[in-house]
Amino acid sequence: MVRRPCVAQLNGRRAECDAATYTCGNRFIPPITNRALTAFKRTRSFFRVTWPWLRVPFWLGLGVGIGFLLPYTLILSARVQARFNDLVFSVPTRVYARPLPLAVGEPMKPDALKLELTFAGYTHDKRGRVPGTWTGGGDHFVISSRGYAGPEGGELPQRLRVTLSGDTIRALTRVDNGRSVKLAHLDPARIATLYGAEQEERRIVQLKQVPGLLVAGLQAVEDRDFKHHFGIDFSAIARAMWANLRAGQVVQGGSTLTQQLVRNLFLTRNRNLVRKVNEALLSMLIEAHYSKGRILQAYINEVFLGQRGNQAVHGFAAASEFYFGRRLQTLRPQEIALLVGLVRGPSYYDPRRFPKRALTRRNLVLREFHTTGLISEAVMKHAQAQPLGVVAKPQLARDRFPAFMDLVRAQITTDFDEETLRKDGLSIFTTLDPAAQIYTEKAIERTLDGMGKRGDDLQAAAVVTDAHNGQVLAMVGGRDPGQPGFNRALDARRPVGSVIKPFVYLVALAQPRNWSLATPLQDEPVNLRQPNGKVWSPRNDDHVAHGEVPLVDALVNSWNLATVHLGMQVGVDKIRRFLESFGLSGVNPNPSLLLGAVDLSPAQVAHLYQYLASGGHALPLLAVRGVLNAHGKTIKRYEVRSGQGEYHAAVQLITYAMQQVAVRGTAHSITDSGLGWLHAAGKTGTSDKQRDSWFAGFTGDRLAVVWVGRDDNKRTGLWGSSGALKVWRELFRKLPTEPLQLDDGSQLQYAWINPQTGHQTDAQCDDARRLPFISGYAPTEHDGCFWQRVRDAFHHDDARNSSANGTP
Amino acid sequence: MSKSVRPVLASTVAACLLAACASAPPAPPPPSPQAIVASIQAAGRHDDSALRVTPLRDAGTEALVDQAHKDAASGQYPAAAAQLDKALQDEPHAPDILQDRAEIAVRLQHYAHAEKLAQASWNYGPKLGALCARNWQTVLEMRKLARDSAGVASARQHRDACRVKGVVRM
Repeated sequence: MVRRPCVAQLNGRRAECDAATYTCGNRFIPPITNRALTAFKRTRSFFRVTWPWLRVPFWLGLGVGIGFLLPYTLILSARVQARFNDLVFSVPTRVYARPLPLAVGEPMKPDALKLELTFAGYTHDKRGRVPGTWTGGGDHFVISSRGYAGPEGGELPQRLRVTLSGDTIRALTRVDNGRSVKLAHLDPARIATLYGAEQEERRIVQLKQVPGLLVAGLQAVEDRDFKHHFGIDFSAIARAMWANLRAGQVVQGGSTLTQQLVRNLFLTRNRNLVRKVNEALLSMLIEAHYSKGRILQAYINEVFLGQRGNQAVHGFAAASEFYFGRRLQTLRPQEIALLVGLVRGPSYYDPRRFPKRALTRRNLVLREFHTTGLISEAVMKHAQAQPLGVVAKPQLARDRFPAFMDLVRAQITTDFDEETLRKDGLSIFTTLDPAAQIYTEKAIERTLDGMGKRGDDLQAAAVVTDAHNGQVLAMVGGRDPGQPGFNRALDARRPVGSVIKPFVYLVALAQPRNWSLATPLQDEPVNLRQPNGKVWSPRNDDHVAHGEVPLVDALVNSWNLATVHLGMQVGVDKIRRFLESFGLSGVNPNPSLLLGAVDLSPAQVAHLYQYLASGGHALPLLAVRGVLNAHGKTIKRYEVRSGQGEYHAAVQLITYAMQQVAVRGTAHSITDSGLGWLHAAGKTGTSDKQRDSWFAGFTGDRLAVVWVGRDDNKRTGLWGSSGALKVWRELFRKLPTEPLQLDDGSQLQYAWINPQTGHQTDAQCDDARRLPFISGYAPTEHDGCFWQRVRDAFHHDDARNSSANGTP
Repeated sequence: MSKSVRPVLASTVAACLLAACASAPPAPPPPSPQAIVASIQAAGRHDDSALRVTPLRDAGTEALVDQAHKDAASGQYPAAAAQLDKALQDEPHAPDILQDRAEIAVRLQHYAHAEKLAQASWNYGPKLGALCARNWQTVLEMRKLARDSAGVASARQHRDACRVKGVVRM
């Protein structure tokens, strides 16, 4: 035996080998038999012959394999993990109106309730059993609420019977047990969406929240071997190829759910070989790294299921709201089948555009559900007989009320940056009252359209608030309310005219020693030198000086001369400081302020009037009630709990005077038009040369400020009463509201007054008027009417004699 | 030293010793934890700020805090502390819970911990109104116990700055 020295690398070290002992270092190397040696030699000689031709493709292949494919797969794997480990979808922020409160005694009209239901995406059907549906009408409604989570907690779904009578909720009971309900809320309508760079509509759900039929049905229709394959299903591809060959066109796809997910998450829409290879590689990698449940959950949240304008609907939860206006958990088999059927082609089977096509597809899917044992034949047949049940208008509001949204943004931008708002899936609960908003829009449209040609160039803006707490219920920024742009309600500052007067009178009445509603004022011409040297000589609108008039009449009739005299006595600076205490700056310090020569926006006027409407509480105008994060946790709540009001008694006196404005003053058309039962308090305003028409007025629970004018600031030819007041009246004819009751408790006392002198008098005296006073400040002087009674007695006798003589 | 001088000297020394006793009376006993908590809560009640901010509390932790208040009312301070600690696990930055916990810490005579909690409550809190006043009254009381007069003065200044004056309109 020839000892052949050899060298080998063992454990990284050079080692001497011994062929005789079949050892190399201290390792045993198996002997090679002669036969094997021969075969080896033959192979080696074969490779020697073929190697010159094989070596190029071999090294090329190996190069590609090691140099490209391996790193490429590693890169893809890293990409898959990076995307999937922290699979965060950009979820838009949804903005909601306020939940509609239903309580016995609350004002509500049948039309307003229908409007609220429609706006909140409730559908009318025969039974009103499924959450998100209602039945009835007139004075009786049965509503199946959907429940919601809001900043104040939220509510579970319930089926409610609502009985109305006299524009008020008279009864509210649960249908299931007949028990009366104290307070319930309808889930709020969605009014806007704040999208990120991509307008993807999505609502994330966990797999356990998804109905079982959807999970199983999706696999039955799209990927039956989902549980077993490794990302690619060759048998499905073969089946699809065979079906397509037989049909002569593409009728079936062989893609697994994983492949479909890969396409949506990682790939472009190009169809080429590289993309196919990538799809296969990525699918296998996802299957290697993640559980089937995780993959399915991602698919359910990602799959594209519809489009509206630029808004793309992704995921079954968002699609459920988009097509049925309901949450995924409440869907019926036929509705689940429709959504599963849409996976094949959301545009082609769009149930709104192609209902027949969608119905056929849905029924086919229902059959698949039955064939795979997911539903019984009876359920299938019943479901197939049902209509599509798709809501006509999807709840995908992008920005339905731009003027109101300006206010929302102004309130929340201090707490949330733009990026958070666009992708963190927040839910913003606002104070918007959909019925109030729509009625305000309509009131403006009808009033201005009703003015004919004169109304063509007119614009208008309005703000409606809750009189008690300052929550903004509606805001209209222009004649075309859906059009974003210049928001006149917030940004158009115009002279307010006589709308300012109640505040001049309020500052006076807050000094009850000096002024009361009965105090005589001089409505006489006045000449005042202004800082620029010019003499200012205001006049009354009727060009008449009325002499000595009671303070209440001066406000009721909006007499300028009496107001200027009063304001000069009170002090212009005091009134300016009062206005500036509400955050206004640069208020006109000249006497012309007394007649409203101050530029304010409708929102600013509403802020001022909120003080009167809430009984002396300076309340900020709130548009947002709270914000929930993507997990439904309240992260901000905006709430104002006011303490004791200021100058409450004086505010009540002003409110009384403003109620008189609506009865016998410049806004008497409120009473004349049948709205007297509201006992509304208000004030008209007209700026210099009739450029701006204003009205601000409130009932027991609603305050509305309306401005009508022109963008070019030209004359409108309108008074406060012939422009803005008409809009206000039109609004309050529809708006559910409650009458205003003066709080004349312990702080006020009433007395009969002689309007000529401002002294107390007897109730039976001519012209005697009963007026409220701050307790303890009623006039102490007393005017009798002895001679008046004597005269009346003679007149009475004369009248009797005339009657007896038969003369007319 | 003559005999006549000795009694004079002795009486002088005795008088001096008595005078020394009179000029340095014994330090008053520290206030009880109950008295300290009463003064902290009084500071909150007396704050008449025009603006009050109510920190948000999660509904889930509400029950824990309510239970803690019940435990504290019945004198079971360790149990109250445990409830509040649980609540703080869910909401570690809830300023009102931190202050409640600080007051329980005072009752348990964990004074250093109480001061730390009150300071944290102020950091996360609205920095105005009743809660702010309670925060700084806690710090003030703790500084008093530590005989840190500069700290007491500073805490008092902070406490007084918690009050937000109302708007004078007329």
